[in-house]
Amino acid sequence: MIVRRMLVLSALFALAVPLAPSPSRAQGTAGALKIGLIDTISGAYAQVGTDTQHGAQLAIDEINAAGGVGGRRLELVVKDEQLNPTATVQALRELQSAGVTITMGYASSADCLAALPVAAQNDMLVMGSNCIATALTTTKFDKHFFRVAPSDTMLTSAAAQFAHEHFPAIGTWDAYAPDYVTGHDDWTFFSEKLRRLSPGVQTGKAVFVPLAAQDVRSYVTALSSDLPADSAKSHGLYLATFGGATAAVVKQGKPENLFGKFAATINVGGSEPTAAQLGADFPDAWFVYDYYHRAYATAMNRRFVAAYQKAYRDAPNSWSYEGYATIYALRSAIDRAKSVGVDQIIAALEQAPISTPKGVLHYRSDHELAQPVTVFECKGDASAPKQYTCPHWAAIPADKVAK
Amino acid sequence: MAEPLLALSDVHAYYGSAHVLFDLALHVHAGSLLALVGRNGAGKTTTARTILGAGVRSTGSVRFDGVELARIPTPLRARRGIQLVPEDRRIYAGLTVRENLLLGRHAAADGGALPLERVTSLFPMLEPLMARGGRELSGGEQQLVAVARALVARPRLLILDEPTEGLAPVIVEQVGEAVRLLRAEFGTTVLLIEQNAAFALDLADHVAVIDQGRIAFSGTRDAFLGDPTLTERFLTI
Amino acid sequence: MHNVLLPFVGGLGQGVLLFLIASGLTLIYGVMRVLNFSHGGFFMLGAYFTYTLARGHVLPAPLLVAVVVAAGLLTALVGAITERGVFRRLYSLPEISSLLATFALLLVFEGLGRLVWGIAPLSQPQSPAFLGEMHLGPVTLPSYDVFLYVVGAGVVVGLEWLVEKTEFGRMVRATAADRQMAALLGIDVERIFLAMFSLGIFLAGLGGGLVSPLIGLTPELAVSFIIQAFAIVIVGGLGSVRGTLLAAIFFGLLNAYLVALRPELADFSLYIGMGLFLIFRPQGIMGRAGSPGELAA
Repeated sequence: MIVRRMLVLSALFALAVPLAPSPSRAQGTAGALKIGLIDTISGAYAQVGTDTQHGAQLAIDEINAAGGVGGRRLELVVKDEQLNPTATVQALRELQSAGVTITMGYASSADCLAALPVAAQNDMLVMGSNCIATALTTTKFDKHFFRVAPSDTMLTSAAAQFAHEHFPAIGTWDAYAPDYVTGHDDWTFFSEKLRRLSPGVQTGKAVFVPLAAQDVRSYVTALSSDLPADSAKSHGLYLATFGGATAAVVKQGKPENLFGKFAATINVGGSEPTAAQLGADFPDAWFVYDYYHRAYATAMNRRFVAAYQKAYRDAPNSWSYEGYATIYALRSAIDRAKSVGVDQIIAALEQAPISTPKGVLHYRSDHELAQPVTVFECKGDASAPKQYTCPHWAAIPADKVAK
Repeated sequence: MAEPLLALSDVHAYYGSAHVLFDLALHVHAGSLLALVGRNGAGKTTTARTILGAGVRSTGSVRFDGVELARIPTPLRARRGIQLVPEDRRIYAGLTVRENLLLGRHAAADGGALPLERVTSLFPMLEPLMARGGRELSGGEQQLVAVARALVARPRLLILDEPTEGLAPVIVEQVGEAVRLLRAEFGTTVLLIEQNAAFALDLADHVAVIDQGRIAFSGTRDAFLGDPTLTERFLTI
Repeated sequence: MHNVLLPFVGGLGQGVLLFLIASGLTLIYGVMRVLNFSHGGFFMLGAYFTYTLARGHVLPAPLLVAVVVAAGLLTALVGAITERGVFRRLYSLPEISSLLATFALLLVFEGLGRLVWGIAPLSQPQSPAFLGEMHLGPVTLPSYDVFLYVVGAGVVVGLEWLVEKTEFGRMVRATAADRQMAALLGIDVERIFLAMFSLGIFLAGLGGGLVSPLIGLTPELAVSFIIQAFAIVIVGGLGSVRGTLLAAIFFGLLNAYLVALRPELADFSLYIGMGLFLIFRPQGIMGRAGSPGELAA
């Protein structure tokens, strides 16, 4: 009986999850333009897809309330890829057979890389809302792919730029990064760009941690044991983890006061949800990522933040922004193309000014969105209502983060 | 006549879909020793297992001391006073002899377990073995420990399944002595399952013969020995 | 204290944590012969129960310890219910069936975790007293690691006493070695199973509770330690508590030294360790050749 009840419960749960987060009723109107959102809405990185969906849905609700695009309503079709490229491709094929040609989302670069060849073959559009691998606009370039998030090269470039401008006193940067190709490449890129900007700066110890590692105390020790006594003045930490990996290093580094041993920490690829998760435990660190809601003073951003607050009782984060910006990028293109044909949209995206809360942006010829990267400082604070505050922020302009 | 201590009637037993016991009836009277003899595979061990509800599916009635056992799980049957010494003895190899013997206490009625000193005084050859591990015992020693372990529970019915199997003749003699001793000492009722009919008949008051899952004869030892056709059929193995 | 000692301290702490997770697994296998894949689910529950009981607040160390123990007990209660409802049916099945069934159960727990605690990672802050360091001569030890050593030693000594020195332990060993004979001797085998299953699950819950201040909590915790725990249980010799302790410390130290000396190999430490054992001592540290280990402390 218990088995059966548990099975029923889990089945109900499986049904309920994809439906629950959407605040608006499915419209299902004939003639609506369907946009496929393939994103990770379950598992450890479920927040990526959920927040992307929230942002996209908000944009769609706004556009539909204003009469839709070219007289057609927009409708989101959500598929959970579970951070699994196989599921991503499966979802893409399902959308294809349902006649959906415009897709967005893709929590990880592996998902984008898996989806792109299939999409190209079937003439479908891949709007990379979340995925950041540089290869997608270089070695793996295909005209069907347009990125909304900044590439990891742009993020790393912004981090080096920021380190150079903001922390001139730091003579050595050490690294704590995930142990995969991008983790290594980005660190190399960061050190090279930083040395170009400030020739006196050195790179110290680089510790690479397996992606799935939960007990990282040995890595923490490996990083901190070689630091000189005055490291709190002279060393900076390049931290390239996100999500659970950041939680592990923060919590397990605490007894050694790991972050206190560095003059500054720059967390490339991390963002506010991690600070929210760790609350007062979160150290003082500078996130380098797509978006922070207070960093942009445009009218569109003010409207976006206010509407998002109203709908979801929380400020939008990078992923919410990416979902929202993707929909508005599509609208900019469709308005210009006066067509929903994939080739016409591609042509329009290449030309059209893209309105986003960060400002009016343009796609480069490699389909990378020329855009600023956001740097913002967050730190745990037991006295703050959310147990953390983000007191400083800056936007590193598009021309300073280009390649 | 008083109700027998153990009464099986209409018993059928199965292993999976194999039907092994057919309409079996068996009575063991308090204080007596019933020898259940029969060839290999006749259903002797299955009968013992059926009495304890261990590892065999059965229908029909098994009554012990006036209580129907059919729906009572094995450990509770044991605690009602039935101890089985299985044919492979099943001494715990990883436990010492002392620990093996102490396990016998769980089936004893409250406070009724036989103290270990009592056991060693009955079977002095156990004394030097007490600290030894179960896996270090010879076959004869194992048999002795298995009987002693059952005795610790001070059972009302002791079922011995092939206690002489694989033992040297001199040891078989010792086992026979042990059975006599515990009957004399405690008046224990015994169901002795044996292929070695000579050994069994030497000790028995009553005899039952099982053949192909059916009781072929049941009566006193004298009646059995007095019928040449029976002895002819079942003693020449 | 430098390159030689530092990884030793870290590896030992890591090993003890792994031991706490794996000990319940080996106990359950040793007695019931069920490879319990859902162990990770109970581990996850222990971590989440700790978070829920502490309500994510910073607690003084004694209170946090009490909360972790309470979380372990709650997890054990869930374990007992599961034993009655599910596991009882698995004891007589072949290992492959129970492996599949417990794997399914693992997924159910993961789903329930999502349903109850949501998808966003949660964080249980560490007690301030556990954030310090202790100095023993030239060696500096994180105080939480020292606490974990004590808990690990307590679990080993406690289990050893329970299994080897008590009447209950005698019944447990008898049931583990031959459950039918145990029943014939009047031992209530079902109750022994329930008790030992609950104890094993208590240890899983305790492990989850003790890990909770160190990491971010997501339902994926259910699967994240289970492969390591299985490797440890196998290398330790299935059913052996002491073997599990040695294997856990072995893996902890191997990983820590690889991180310090050959970091490019550290990611493979689990496979390196398992490979070494499968080649040179396939029966595990405490197992005997040819048979799965008997339950032993």
